[in-house]
Amino acid sequence: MQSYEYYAPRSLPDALEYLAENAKNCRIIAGGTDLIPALRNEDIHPAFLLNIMEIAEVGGISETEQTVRIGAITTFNDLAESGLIRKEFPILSEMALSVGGPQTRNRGTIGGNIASAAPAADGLPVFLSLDAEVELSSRRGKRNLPLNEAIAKAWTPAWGNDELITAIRIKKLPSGTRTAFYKLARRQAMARSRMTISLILRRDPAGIIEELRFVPGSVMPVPRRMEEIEKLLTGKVPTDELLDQAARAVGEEMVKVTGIRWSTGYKKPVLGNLFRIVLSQLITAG
Amino acid sequence: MKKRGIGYGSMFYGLGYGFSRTDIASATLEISQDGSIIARSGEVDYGQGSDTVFCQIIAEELGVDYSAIKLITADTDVTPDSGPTSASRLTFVGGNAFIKTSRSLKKILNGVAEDILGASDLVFREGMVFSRSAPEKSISFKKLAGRAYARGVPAVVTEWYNNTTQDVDPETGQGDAYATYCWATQMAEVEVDTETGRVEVLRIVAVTDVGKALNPLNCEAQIEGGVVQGLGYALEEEIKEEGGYVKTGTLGEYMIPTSLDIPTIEVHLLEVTEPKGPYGAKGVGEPALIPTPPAVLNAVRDALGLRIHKLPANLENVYHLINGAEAGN
Amino acid sequence: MNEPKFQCIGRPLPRVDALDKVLGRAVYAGDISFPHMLYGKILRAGVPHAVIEEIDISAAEAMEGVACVLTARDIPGINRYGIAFPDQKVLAEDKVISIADPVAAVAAESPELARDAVKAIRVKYRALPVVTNPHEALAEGAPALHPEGNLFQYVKIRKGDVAEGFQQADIILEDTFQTQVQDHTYLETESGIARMDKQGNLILQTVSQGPFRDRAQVAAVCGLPQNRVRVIRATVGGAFGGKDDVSVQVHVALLAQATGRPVRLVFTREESLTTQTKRHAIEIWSRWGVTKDGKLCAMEGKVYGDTGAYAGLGPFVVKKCGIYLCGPYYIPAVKVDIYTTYTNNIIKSAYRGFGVLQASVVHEAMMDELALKCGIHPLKFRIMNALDVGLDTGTGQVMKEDCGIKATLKKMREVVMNDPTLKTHCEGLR
Repeated sequence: MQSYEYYAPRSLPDALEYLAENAKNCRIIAGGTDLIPALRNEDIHPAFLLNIMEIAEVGGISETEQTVRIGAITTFNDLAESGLIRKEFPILSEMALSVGGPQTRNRGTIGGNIASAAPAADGLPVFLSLDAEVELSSRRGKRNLPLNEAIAKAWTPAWGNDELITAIRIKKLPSGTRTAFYKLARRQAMARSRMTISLILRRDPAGIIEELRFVPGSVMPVPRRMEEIEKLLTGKVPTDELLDQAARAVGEEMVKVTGIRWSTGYKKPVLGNLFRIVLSQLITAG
Repeated sequence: MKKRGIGYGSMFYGLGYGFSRTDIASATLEISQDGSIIARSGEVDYGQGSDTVFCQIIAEELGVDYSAIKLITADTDVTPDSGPTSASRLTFVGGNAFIKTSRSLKKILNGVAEDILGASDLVFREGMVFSRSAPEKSISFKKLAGRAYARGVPAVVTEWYNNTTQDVDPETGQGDAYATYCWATQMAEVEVDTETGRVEVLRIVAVTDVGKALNPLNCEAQIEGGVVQGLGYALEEEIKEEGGYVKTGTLGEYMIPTSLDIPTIEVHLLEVTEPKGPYGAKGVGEPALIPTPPAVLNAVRDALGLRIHKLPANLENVYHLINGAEAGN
Repeated sequence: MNEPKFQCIGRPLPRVDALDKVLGRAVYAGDISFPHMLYGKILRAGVPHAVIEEIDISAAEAMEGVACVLTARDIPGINRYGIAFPDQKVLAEDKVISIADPVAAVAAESPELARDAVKAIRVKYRALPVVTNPHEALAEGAPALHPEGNLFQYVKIRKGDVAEGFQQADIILEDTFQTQVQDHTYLETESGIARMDKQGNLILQTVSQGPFRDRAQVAAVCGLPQNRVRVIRATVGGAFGGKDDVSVQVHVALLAQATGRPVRLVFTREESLTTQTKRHAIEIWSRWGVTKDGKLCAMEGKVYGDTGAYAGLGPFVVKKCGIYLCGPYYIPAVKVDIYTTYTNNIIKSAYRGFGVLQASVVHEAMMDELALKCGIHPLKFRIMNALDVGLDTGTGQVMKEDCGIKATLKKMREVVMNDPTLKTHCEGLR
């Protein structure tokens, strides 16, 4: 039987103090959709549980002229319902609505999604495609870390165990930018992603790709932008031949990271197919 | 590319146990002095709706309100043995037991009522017992129960229905194995995404011969539930066993359909009477599910020109089927 | 007098149990509790085939809050149960043949303690070779999982002269299909609560599809006459055949009998998925002959069902698969051989569809392929070959007026022909 100390402070300094004191053996609850099942299965054995869901400073969605700040305990449902998010980053709204079912969307948070660093996370690849930064707070102070440097390996964040993720910051996209999120799963709800595609695209009036950001999800231990593919297409007009070539390269890139596994025979071609389909739709749409 | 296909699935299903396996049901009715009824049956309603149908049968026979009957089921100290809930047998076997019991009890009450009313053409309807030719000769069911009690006639009746069939020839398997059969045909319309292997079922049409729909709402619901279970089987559900170990240990891996995965389901109930069935009824439970997987798999075959031999038709199996064929297999 | 034929029958009335269920008032076995109640937990083998060299329960027994730890020698009655054939051990003796085999049962003051106690039991196994499919099971030299061998049942269906039937055929097709294992996935997992009354009667409230069948098995294991065991079904949250076999019943009864206290046993979802009965994976080969004008003339089949380590209702399921392999069609000559084998996989038993589902996947696939070869619309092909009054099934039962297959097919034809979106599909259907 497990027993642990549970603490749910209302102030951030209290939380950071507690975290610093108990850093070594403390787990943070930011929704708990991963943590509670792990506790129940006794996969983890923390001595301290810090619930940050009561801390107002860690929530909320706000904007400046250049950026949007999303508090770490923003739930997927909050994200889906935010008008600001729908206006600035429709890709986030789409992703949020695809997560689990109503219960998981009401509990699960973006901070938790990032900090869990699950290979099949839905939020993480989208935030990566948006070049997001995480705001980390600790008793030592506050710092911002690019998200692509924030995950050490699957299930493991790269920040200190006395640090708490308090927000995500995303730069607003230049006008004319289009985004797309696609999720392939074994069913329409309550399903872990088989694979996801996150795309950010901007083209000039002649149709030349000015900027492309592409992050596949659920195919690599840690999702990341596929810069090789982005480079292949940037500065060019996306012809059918070029898209075919890129789609094939997507599978190759994936295998470079994952090696051959039981699922490779399926994932390698299908990831390329999906990339091509979703990108073609984005191009056709404008 | 998305390819569409249409497929059919038909089936027949022997109702009850057949093959000389014991297939019995009993039912007890007890009438209180105020006319309220306690019914007892050994059957379990695990969600399929037999409790409701039993109450409807009693209500039909005795002319009382079905929702006012107290039905006690499946308590070995209190209820008689009615056999297990399986083989789509409950409405047929258990229902027949309740018809027999209700009619026996009615016969007793009818005798008392004839005596009181001085009429022999009695009708039991809407809580009243009255003469068909002279409806003013009437007594309420409640009052009749009290009068019957005062006369000391039996207030508890138990009857037994035996659906046990003969066995077949052990050398050839030939013989009248089952009391009766259920029949169903379904059609599935699907769309297959050839680039991911995803099969989307757009529509299911289910035509089921229920003999007699004792409760059409319940029949439809049971068929819809069966279709969904069949969709899961056809497309996704699989417990994987390797070397004696089960590899599918959580509902995160074992995927049943969610409400968002369910297509339009169009249900048609046919009533080809079964003379031995209660009011002509057959079973619904298993015929609801059986035609769905073949209909879906045949629709996939129609869409692709290729056939799945190893179930289910999940993302990988369908994708590899297409891909293998494209490679010239 | 103009009155409707029925007053209550045939009406779409709401279910009598609906309100309790949607309002959360229905009482499931896992909701029931009594004062001084203990919580049960089963230790399972976790290995598919092995000799038990040693079971050490001393650490578990010594734990505070553990009321009892039962092994095979603590069973007052017989150490056997099984819904139709008593081939399951309540608690393992000298060997295990499935990962799900119960080895010990614990009752403790809390579910967590019960779980910890189960973890504290040490069992030493010596692994044996594993049999994982019917062909391995039937192969020469395969380890025998039960004294009678691995072939639990062999059934023959013989109707007419198959050789002659195929002789008349213009088109002959054959193919093999492999179906998968399916879980029932009811909302409510297996659960039960047992207690002794002051007169020494055992009272068991539990999930059940057949309380009298449960009673017979529990009484024999507990060494009680059947009239001393009372089985009451709690509200059952779905079953689909999966609550036909005994799940928690015998173990929770034994624990209550041993401790004299109420004991509740509720399986986790993981336990339900990995140890309880499932739908059979069946390998089905069949060959079909049809004349060029579309009349079925012969069918031959071989059915290999894997019932796992125990029979359950498997022999009936697999037999039914073979019996229904003709589908709802008239075929004058039929020959089917049906094999039900034991393996070291987990037990397979009843599941809505009961073998006929697996058969239907095959006969409907073959009907489509034959129709295609004959150039006849698949629905029309079915109508042409459907059973009808006076024709007999693959097992020789002659159809009477209640035969409804043609009615369903013709109704389906009407539905699709009246659907403007299906115009192309309906070509050749008329």
